[in-house]
Amino acid sequence: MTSSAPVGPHFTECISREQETFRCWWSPGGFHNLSFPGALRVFYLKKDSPNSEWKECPEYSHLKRECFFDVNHTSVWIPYCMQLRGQNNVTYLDEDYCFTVENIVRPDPPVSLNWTLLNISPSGLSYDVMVNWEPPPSADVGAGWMRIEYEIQYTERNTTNWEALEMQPHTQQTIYGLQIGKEYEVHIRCRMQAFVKFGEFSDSVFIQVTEIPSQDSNFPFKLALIFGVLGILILILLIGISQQPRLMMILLPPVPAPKIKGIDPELLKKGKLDELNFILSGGGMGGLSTYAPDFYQDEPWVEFIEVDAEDADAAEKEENQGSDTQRLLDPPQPVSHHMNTGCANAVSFPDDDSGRASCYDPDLHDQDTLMLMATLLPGQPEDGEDSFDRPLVQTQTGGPQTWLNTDFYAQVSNVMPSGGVVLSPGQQLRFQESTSAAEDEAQKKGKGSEDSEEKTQKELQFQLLVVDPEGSGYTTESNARQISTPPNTPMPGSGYQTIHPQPVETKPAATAENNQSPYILPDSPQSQFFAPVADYTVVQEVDSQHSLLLNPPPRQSPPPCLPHHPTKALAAMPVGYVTPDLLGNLSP
Amino acid sequence: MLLIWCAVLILACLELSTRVGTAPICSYGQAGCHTPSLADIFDRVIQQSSRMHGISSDLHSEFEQYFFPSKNLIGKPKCHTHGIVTPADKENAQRLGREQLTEVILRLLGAWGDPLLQLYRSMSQDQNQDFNHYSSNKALEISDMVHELRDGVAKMAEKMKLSGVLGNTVGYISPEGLVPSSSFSFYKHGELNSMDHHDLLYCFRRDSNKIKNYLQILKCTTLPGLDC
Repeated sequence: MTSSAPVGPHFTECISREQETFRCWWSPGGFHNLSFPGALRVFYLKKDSPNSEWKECPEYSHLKRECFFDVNHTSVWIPYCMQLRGQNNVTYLDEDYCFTVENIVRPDPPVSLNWTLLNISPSGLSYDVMVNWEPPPSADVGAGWMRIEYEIQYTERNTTNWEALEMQPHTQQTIYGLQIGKEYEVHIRCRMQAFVKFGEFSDSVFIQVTEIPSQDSNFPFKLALIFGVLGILILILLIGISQQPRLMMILLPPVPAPKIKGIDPELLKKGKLDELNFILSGGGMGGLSTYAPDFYQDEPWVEFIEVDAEDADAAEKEENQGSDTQRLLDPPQPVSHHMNTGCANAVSFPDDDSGRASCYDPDLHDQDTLMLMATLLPGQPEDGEDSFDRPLVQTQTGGPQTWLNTDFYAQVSNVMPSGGVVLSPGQQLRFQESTSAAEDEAQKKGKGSEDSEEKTQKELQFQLLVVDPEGSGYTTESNARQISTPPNTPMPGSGYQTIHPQPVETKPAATAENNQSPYILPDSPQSQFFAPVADYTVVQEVDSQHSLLLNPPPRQSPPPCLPHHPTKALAAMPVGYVTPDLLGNLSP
Repeated sequence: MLLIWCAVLILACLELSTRVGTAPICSYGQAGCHTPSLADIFDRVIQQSSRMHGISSDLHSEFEQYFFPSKNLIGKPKCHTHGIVTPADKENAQRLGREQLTEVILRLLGAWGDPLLQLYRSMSQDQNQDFNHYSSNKALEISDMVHELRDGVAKMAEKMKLSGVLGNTVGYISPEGLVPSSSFSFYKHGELNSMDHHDLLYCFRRDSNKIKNYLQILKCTTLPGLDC
């Protein structure tokens, strides 16, 4: 509906620019008779005290229809109410126009708007610009009286879709992503923080960055590329043409191949292992002697893998001594000798350190020996009789060679009820060693106390059962009376060894012998066999002390029911384990 | 022996007493309390006051928008802090001096602690569900802010005293001494309604703006720097 009623005189706006002064503008509205200057008067009420009065505008500007309140008349945070009155004190407004100064602040626009180019994108299509300015001079930002935040807007020239950036209180801001070649128009405005009314926009500033000729940037790059390729080609040509050995050495150093002194490098090639083995084993012309032909005369820088020729002959002999168990079980002094030879036996490089690194550390030997002894002989009672241990070990020290030439790992073929373990190592036994060892053992035993002797003797029964038939690794330890080994029943092909009962006559001899030593000795040391070990041995009987006997005890009074029957049965039995029913026959 | 013990005790007491006096100032109780500089404290305090003023403005404009479309009720409400004499323009504020300005700030902050809490309680209990949760949370927020800000300004004053910037005339102002304890009765006996809320918010908006401005003036006269 069209309002026919004319709008009366009213205030258009009151604005403060710096929160220190403010102005109010009015308009006569439809009342044209009031448009002449002085027809309308402005009155204000400053509510700073309960009995405040309406006062007239302190400063008129009739041309502009403006009422100006200077610093003396301006108070912030105090409500002002404005009134327009005519000549005859007629109030033309129903409601007073009231405000507080801080709410009508519209700051002046910032000044000195300026821009600088930040960077251009690698594609050369867009760029970033840093815009900076000064706060409006009228706003006393320096005293902290006003805190201002700014808003930048920019657009393409001659368009009006202005893009506004985020408000921020600093006096500079970056515009990102402007496009090369286009012209942009930028202006800025500001307002007080936490207030709503913006000031006027500043004057616009124009930004334009034109294209930079890109050939210059590409040209040197292409040139450099071409030159680089050419240079590489020339270099390759030079290398190919010159074939200087020195140059070749620098550029393409030779790959080291195995070179053993005294051995023709041809033999080291694939497929010639037999000849190599032959030479290395000392055959032929003694290929490893120092007088071996020098195959590498023209390559003086070659480092050789050296093989120690001295021990090549004794390689086989040393093989057993060099076994791991040997080294570990041997006593310190002799074993150190062994160790060194073992070390020398190993392939050693000219570098001294590397040779020894592969050997066992002699320092660790003692403890390890004891440890190994303990582990290999787990049949010891829980009390852990050290006294027994030491004599055993000391027997080793007595003899230059070991009593037990076993591998490092020994297979446990059986476990005694008492806890003893039956081992079956894979190596030979030196009977001579064990003899001497036994003698020493007897001597050592004499040193010990009687009690310990008895104990040890008793314990011997519970000790490791090591059967030693014809050169196998077994040495059984049991009641000395009861076991003797048959040296002359070789069954090398069989996996088991049956131990047949000896005639009783031989028993005392063996017994007597065995009384002195806990070890089983074969009657004829000559009959040493270096045959491979028997892994298993048939248990013939279980004696009164619950040790498994590989030879049944002599039966003074054979049981009436079974006179030699079990043994005969066993004898007749093919090689194998004792079956449970036979086991019952074995029990004493 | 006894003498030694006595000496040790005395020394310990002295050390403790001196330590109380030179306790590091940790604004707003941040962890790993290293002493911030006066500039830092000023910045934080001013930021806080700005935020407080912003939130109170938002709340007030929400009220105006939803409840009081007419804008010309300004001038009607009388605020309970009218008793506190505050400088009304820049020259007066600058002429007041740092000590008195700080005192005015502390008075204002002290006067608003309780009323804002009352406001929040009243708003959250309001049966009229026109208030959304957001508005009552804002009231709680500004209530907390006032307390924090008061502590912060107190610490700032302490630090200023220590560094000699502030004279010793700024005494400890107890909140009870600023305004009568029944300040809320100024507005209305009994429960508050929306009108009271609106009045409160109008008053607080104005006072928070005063606080912000005074703090800014204080900072820029004490430490003129980048932000001034």
